[in-house]
Amino acid sequence: MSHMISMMLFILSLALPSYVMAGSSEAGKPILSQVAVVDFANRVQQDLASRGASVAIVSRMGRNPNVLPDGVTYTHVAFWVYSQTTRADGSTGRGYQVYNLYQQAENDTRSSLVQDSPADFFAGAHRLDAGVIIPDVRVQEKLLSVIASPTYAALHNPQYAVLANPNSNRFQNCTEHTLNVLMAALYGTSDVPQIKANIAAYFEPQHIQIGGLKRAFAPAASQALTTADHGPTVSTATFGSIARFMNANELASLVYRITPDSLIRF
Amino acid sequence: MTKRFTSLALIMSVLVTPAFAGPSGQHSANAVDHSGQAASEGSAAIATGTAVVASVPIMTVGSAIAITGAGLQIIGEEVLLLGNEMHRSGTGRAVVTKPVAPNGPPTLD
Repeated sequence: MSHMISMMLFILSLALPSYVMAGSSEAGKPILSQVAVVDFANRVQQDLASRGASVAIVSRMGRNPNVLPDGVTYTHVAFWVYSQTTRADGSTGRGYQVYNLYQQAENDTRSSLVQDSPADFFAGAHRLDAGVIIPDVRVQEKLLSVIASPTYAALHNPQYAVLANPNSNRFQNCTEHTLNVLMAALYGTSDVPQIKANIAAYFEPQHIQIGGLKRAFAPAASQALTTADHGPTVSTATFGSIARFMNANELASLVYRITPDSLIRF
Repeated sequence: MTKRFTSLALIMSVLVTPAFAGPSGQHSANAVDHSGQAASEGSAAIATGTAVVASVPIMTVGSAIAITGAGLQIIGEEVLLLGNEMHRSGTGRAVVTKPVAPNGPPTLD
């Protein structure tokens, strides 16, 4: 009997979703040097500025892609907004401010909307590699209007799930909030049911291969891994699926990948 | 053999961290480490120093854009706007959605 139980435990441990040790992210042990992060943040800023982007959708590689599901390369997406900045010492300047939805540290089933800097955005990266979508100029104007309005926060659902279903508002992750804001901008509405109806009709999320056992036991490891808002299959919004949606509907002027020494157009 | 299996299973079951979710690091919680703490959707402050007190989006669509002054990132700056966006978070309750017919496909024309 005890042998059977131990075997079941062992199988269960193998069945849990793509887990890795937190070794790549141990506190106090930076993965990337601050100098490299700051240099890369400025490289991305300068690149966006050279293209005249007032707002862009930028993603980072927060985990080794080898441990991510097929079809997922970037783990965090946010709006970069060209802004006038004033510091406490009175100094001013112009650069990009990052509008994030972050999972809370103290409760991984909750999220908050947080603004931070380009350098902070990449501070938690596994690799200096960013996916960038520069929306069409007309989309940028619409996005700026929404981001600067109460709609931006109204579209936030702090109930966080890693694999949130973008067709439902039961849970939300950073990419889904980005998609909600994009849809609000495109359709000029803050009405969540309408936004969800349009997402369901025109947006094709990234399918995530995940077995029944993994789905069943994932929430035991973390409630943020719930897939209770999905049907038989699991699909979520990703940087890639948003890029495909924008390209397919001619909403993007440029989609590319940028690293410290290369720039590749998708 | 059974003990080995049990030990191995328990260790593997307990010592795991979700690959996707990761240990998120909010600035307020982890900035003190000044580390590039990796997280999938958490943030990690790059440094601390002169705080940003205001940041206003600039509507310059179609115009020339330049990164100037305090907009340029340097080590030793803290540019997190805690207390601004954090307070703009949602209500905490999921919005109940009812079936709604979609509009037409998105178009800019």
